[in-house]
Amino acid sequence: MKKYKLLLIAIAVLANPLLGMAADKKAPEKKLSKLVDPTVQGENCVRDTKDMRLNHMNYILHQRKETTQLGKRWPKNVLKNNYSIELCINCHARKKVDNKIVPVSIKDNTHFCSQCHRKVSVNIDCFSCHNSKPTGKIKFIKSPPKTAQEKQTK
Amino acid sequence: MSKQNHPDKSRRNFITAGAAVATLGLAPGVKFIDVANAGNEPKAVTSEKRWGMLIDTNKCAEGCNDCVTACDKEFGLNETVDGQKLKSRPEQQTHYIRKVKLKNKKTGHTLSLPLLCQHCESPPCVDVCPTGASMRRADGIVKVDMHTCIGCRYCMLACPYKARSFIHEPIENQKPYAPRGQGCVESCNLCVHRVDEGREPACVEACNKSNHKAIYFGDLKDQNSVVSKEMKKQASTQLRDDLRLNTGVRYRGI
Amino acid sequence: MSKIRYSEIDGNSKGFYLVLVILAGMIGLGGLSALYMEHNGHWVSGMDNQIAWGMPHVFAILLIVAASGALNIASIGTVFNKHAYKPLARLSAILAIALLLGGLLVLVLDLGRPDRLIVAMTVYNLTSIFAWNILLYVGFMGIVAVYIWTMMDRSVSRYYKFMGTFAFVWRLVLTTGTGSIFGFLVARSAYDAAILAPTFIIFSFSIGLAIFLLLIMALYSGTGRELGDALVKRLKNLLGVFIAASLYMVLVFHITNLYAAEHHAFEKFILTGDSIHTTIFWIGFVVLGGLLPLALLYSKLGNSRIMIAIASVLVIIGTASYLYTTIIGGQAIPLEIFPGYEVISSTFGDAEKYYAYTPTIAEILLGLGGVGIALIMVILACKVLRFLPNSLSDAVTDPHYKATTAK
Repeated sequence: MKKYKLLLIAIAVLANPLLGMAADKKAPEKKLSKLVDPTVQGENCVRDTKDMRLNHMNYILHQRKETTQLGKRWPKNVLKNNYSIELCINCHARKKVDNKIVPVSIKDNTHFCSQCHRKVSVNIDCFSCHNSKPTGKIKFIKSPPKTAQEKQTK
Repeated sequence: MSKQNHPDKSRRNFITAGAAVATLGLAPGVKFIDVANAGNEPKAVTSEKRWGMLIDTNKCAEGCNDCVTACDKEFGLNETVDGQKLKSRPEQQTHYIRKVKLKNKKTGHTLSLPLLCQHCESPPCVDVCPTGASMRRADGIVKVDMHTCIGCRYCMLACPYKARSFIHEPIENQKPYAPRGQGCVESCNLCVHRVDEGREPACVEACNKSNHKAIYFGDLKDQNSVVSKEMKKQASTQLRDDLRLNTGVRYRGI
Repeated sequence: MSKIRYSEIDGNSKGFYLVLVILAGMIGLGGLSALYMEHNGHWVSGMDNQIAWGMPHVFAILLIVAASGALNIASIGTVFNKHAYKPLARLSAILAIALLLGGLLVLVLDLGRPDRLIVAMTVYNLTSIFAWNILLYVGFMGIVAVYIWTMMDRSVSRYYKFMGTFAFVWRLVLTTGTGSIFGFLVARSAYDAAILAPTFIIFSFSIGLAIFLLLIMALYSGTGRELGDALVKRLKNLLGVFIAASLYMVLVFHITNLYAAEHHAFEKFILTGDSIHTTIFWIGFVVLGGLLPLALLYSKLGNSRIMIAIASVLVIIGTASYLYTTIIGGQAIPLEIFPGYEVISSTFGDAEKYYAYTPTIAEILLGLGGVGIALIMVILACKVLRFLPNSLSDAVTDPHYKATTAK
């Protein structure tokens, strides 16, 4: 029986995130959405918001290899499928203070990334090298217009 | 259970189930790649190009430090935050490019030149890196992929030009196009962010601006590029050419 | 020869716990030093962009070289069938694993990003001698662990000879790899020599044996077990041979360099310069680490256990001195980037005669932490498993003993 127990644990560990996603897609997503400051929530980000909440790390990881090693540069003015961390930060790492939108550093508890990551105790390695604050002008890049298909699914 | 009759059964089941779980685990990875590749995917750089430089030491002015200043500014090197002092000692600070003044031991002839990563075709730093973080892009640019750099500093021992620096202290306010952080090794990356946009490196721009025009930059494989044409005109040398590294940076006048 | 019996050490005396406390203190201080360097960044260390590898690397490589050498005692017994060495094989093997682990910990904790160790274990650049070394180290620990198993478990003892030979070959490859970390560096005049690999192997013989000698003398006097003179005499004579061999290897290295004009600057710097490296080379390595222990071991003084212990300590000092002048001295001399030219000025130190390096306390404590880990592992292993023979008296180890007494 011991071996079966081990097997169950292994399945639980490996499949937990996947099964959790499949079985109850709304639950974790809802919990996460409560954590985030509404001022920095895009409507339809580089991908569907729910999808990004759950899978952003995989998208980022995949594209970072392509960019640093193969030299693939996604054009800055195209948001769709563009997972450049500069782009993430430029929109999300801001908050409203006295009706002004100001940049937020990762040291701040209200930083877009740290809100969830603190809650789920997942360390972020990005900002040991990348700047956690927007360096460009303080403005949002507008979300791309929704495609007909995306409108239908809503 | 019939454990005695089939001592191996539970193990076999375990392996089968394990394989199934592993497949489940892999599947989403496949999906991500498919999705990321859809639509607006840019092209990878190829070896059809090789970026390089020719530095004319006859034109390089002694005492001029513009290329170094421009480089430091471009990458935010050794910058202080909020008026705080740098913690690193001078010999611990980062240098992508430096100015060197030389004197010929026999003739007494003096000259001055900028020394930077030579972007070798067979770079010793890439050979020795245990994780492959020290890398050469297909278009000849040698750089560090800081995502996988563990900070072992073996590349610093291997480089014949002392082109590499180790980041000795925490860094903030990095340029968005040039991320860099404590505990990694870094070096000149030929301003890869500029080159990919079709611009020339910051040091070249600064040298032209100061009207010395001592650095030619371009594609070494393109016979019509400025740098190729200039190389054809006069003899040029590679530093430490005895090592047969086929450097991408060449010098004229030494 | 009588049958060899092994037993755990009692490990309940005050002295035993005192040793544990001291070693734990060393490990604790080493850990704190590592945290301190990682938290602040390496600016708090004496290392910089000219001397990129410093004191932690001297300690780490010393321990790694010693590790492969410590296994030799076992190899002489298993591979070369010298019966006197067989009782020592278990201790020799566990000491090898412990020293390697201590050295690796120092190396890893000095990394700029030790938190990314998983990257080093999963992503390999197979052209890197460093990556080979990671595989060699991990393999070494596994192979030697199995080797110990074949020595301790009779049900697998038929693999004993095979594993012993395998471990012996592997350790030779491993030290070749360690020496080649420097030997493969074409850019530097101080390295770039194939002879560095065999030199490191010879050094591993001498320092491994010196540490082993010190360890058994301490363990046997500490536990009140008998350690016969015949064995000690064998080991100390062997140590003398290794010391002479290490002097020879370094001599050949420097003579070869002196023959080539391109290496003259480096030779001048190490052999006749005014830097600390010249002092460490002549006083630390040649006199203290070479000539003096040779004199101690081969004169009448060599009959005294204390003198043998002093000679062993001197060998450790000598090896450390050699590694210091090789690792740090090798980086201390500016690279020859412009042959035929003299560098008048540079914004990054090319014009200096040599680069100075002053290790900080943190770096030294980190290194000592690795030594502490290695020693505590051996002592605890001896307490929980049967590594130590009950007796190493002449009757047990000397094959000629019976013959002479039977007459």
